[in-house]
Amino acid sequence: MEGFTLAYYIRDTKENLRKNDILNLFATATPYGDKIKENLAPYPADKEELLKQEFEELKAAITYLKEVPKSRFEEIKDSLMQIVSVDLVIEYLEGKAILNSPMLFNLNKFLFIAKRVADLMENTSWFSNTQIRWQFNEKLYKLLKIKASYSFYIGSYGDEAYEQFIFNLRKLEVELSNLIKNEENRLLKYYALEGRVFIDGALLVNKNSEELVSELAGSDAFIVTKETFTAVTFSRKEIKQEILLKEKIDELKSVLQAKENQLYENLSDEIREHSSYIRELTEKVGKFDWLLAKAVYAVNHSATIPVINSHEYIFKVHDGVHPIIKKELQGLGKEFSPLTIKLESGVAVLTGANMGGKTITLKTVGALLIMAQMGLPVTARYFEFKPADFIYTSLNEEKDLVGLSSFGAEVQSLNEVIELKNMWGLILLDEIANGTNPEEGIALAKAILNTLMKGKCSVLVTTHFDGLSSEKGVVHWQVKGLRKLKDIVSIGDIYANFDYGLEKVTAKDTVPKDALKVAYLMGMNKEVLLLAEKYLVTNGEE
Amino acid sequence: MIVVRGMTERCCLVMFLDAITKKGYQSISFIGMAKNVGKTTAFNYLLKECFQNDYPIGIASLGRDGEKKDLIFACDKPRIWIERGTIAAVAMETIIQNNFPLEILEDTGYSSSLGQIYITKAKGSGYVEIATTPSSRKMRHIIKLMKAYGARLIIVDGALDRVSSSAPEVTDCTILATGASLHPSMEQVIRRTTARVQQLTLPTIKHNMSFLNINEVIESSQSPLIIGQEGLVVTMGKESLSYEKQLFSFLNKQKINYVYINGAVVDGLLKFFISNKWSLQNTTLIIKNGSNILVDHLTWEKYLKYHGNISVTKPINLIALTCNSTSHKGDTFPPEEFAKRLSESIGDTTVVDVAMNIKERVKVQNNLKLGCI
Repeated sequence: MEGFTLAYYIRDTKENLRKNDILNLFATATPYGDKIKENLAPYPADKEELLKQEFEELKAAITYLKEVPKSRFEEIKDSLMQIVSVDLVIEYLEGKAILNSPMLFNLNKFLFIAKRVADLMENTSWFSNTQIRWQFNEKLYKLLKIKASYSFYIGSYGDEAYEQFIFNLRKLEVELSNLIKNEENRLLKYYALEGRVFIDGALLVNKNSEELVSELAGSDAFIVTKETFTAVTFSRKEIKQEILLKEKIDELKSVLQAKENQLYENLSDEIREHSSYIRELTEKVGKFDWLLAKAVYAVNHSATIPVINSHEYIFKVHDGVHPIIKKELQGLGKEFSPLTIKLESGVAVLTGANMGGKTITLKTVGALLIMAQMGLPVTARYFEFKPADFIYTSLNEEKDLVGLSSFGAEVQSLNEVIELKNMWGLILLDEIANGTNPEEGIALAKAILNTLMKGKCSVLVTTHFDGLSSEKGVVHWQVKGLRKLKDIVSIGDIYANFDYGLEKVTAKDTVPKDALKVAYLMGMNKEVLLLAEKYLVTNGEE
Repeated sequence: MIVVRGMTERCCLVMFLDAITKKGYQSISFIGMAKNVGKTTAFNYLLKECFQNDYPIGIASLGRDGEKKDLIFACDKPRIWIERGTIAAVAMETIIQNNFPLEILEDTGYSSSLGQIYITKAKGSGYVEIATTPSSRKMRHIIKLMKAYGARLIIVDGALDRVSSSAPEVTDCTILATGASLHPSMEQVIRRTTARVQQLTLPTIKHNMSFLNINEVIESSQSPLIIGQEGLVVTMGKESLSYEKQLFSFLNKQKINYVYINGAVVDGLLKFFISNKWSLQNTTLIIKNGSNILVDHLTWEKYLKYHGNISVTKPINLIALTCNSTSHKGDTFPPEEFAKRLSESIGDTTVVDVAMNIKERVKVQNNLKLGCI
């Protein structure tokens, strides 16, 4: 299992822990924050120092967020929203290609907004941390002439000769436009058509105006370009001076094109020297955005920064909730009961009634650990852990691998679990070995748990089997469940009276027997229920 | 009947820009009844007026994106000539390939088939392809950006499809183009155009019930409503097909004073009003604006005849109707007769044949039964 120390190993085939949904709760504003979020992976145990640093930075961000005036924060967030991606620019720069105007605009805008954010953050304690802060590259800003705005026009980067050239070109264009205007007006006046307008250099004349039609048809200044049943289109002939001017302008325009291409090339070359600065800036902006998103979530949802315990093999949760399941329950008008549990190396068995939230407990513990290990604030009042190497889930929902019976699939995954046992990590097993007959199932489950118990990993397993919780060395947790069983007369009472909290069981308690009661309340056929009760008393014999 | 100059070719007729600026309008849209009815000619006409007066303008286009060619007749989509200083919404590819430089002022955050759409400023003069934006929400944003960058009039070209029917919604005023390409019969062109003009110029609702502020009720509603005589307000389900059923069951309880439809108005609803004309004679149909009416002119004519109590919450300023007497196939209507008859049929809207320089304006009593009590 050497490979596992290189990267964190997650086995969560059916996305039971909802890692991606959890990440989407963190609202990033920039494409670079998004990128970090998309590529985020849990830190492996040997990168504990980095994780610590991440939490320190998050702490500073939360402190900043709690102090900053709301209007200032809005300004920062609004600015971040305007950050555009310059990935293509960087790619072009590093590939020695020439940037085009939309790319240069994007670069200008990116640099402009990044500076605005830095200005807004100036003199804050959080931003004085050099890991977070970015420097203002005066040379690059000067080169791109970024001052009051980020608009881009290649002509602003030309020298005096270029400006003179543009000036001359404009002069000719104005000359041409005046020439045309004068010529058109002259013709309109000559033919007493004042107030009419040439459209695309042409006049459309109604054939009813016979006089005018014949007048224009006989004129040297017009040619007929189209004729219909009712109207004639007269296009104005270009005059000699006009043709000459147009030729000259076209000539200058192609020279201008070459000049501009040169400007793009020069500018790209000069910017290329700063490409590593630009790349670094995107990373810093992304990190800043990501930290801010985490801090905002932590403040808005009272999430806490996990405590790293380097010495003990421990996962400790106080009042933890699964952020996604909590949201979903809220949507249904229900509350999520917070979870408190402490897990160490070895095996812990979780028992409880049906519908007692055992599976949710597994999912919550797993989700919180993943969050912590990814450097996120966790949705718990307190969370302490030793960074782990893996998290492994085998929940009932996923036992339907193609081509295998549920038991076959489970055997396969349990084999994998046994290989992991000597590493520090969390194994979550739902209803172990329940896919076969109970007698052999219990035997197998006992054997597996005893094997795992000798390892370093922490195993949390739910079961309905009586024997497992009483195994020597097994920690037994139980969902408190239906306390006042007698008071419950309807299905609604179950939800009202159900205590989803966990308690550690020390005596040799048996697995709570309220399945029949629940089945009764759910409206199970009475005959069947009576029979079941009878069997329960006679222990399966007639 | 007042005929404002015109009829001959020897006098000046149209001054769009003047009419627009006098009223303080900051944005205008051009929509067409069909392809090739001269919308682009009218559009270019206004542009020329603006350029000649050095009026700072912005140009945008609303409609389905991705048409490089005119889909129906496969002729080239006209590119637009803009002068130096014009602000235009242009797609990335166009900016790179354009034969005169464009200063990029801002990115809109919207993309088209030719890449991201930018707000640009022409640094020279020439032809440019304007980027098409497919939603009115995005168009509002683009108009806002253009204003911020100094455009005093934003001209929106509405392409011919269902999306662009919302063009009048986003601009301060609208010019509608019609012409011989719409139908071979002049009679038909006039009837269809008249129906559209009537829809676009519906009056604003301005009345109230003594115990209920109708405007407030409607403004705060995201759904279609039925408001009963006794002030009972019922929200209708979103499926426009079932409006009739819902109205019918309401009618069994009490009389209806208002029906508010916040989306498209389709044939079925108007037919319901026609067939229940007696029980609905005091009912006012309120819609958002006339461009939401998507019924054929026959249903519309019948509706006006039998019910016609209809008003809008957001009026459209239809400032002119342009007509093109020549169709794309070369058929022509007699230009003066066409303009004159259109003007007579519509009333109170200026009818302009831009190319032929004909202008008609007939001032008559609005022949609509207005939706006011």
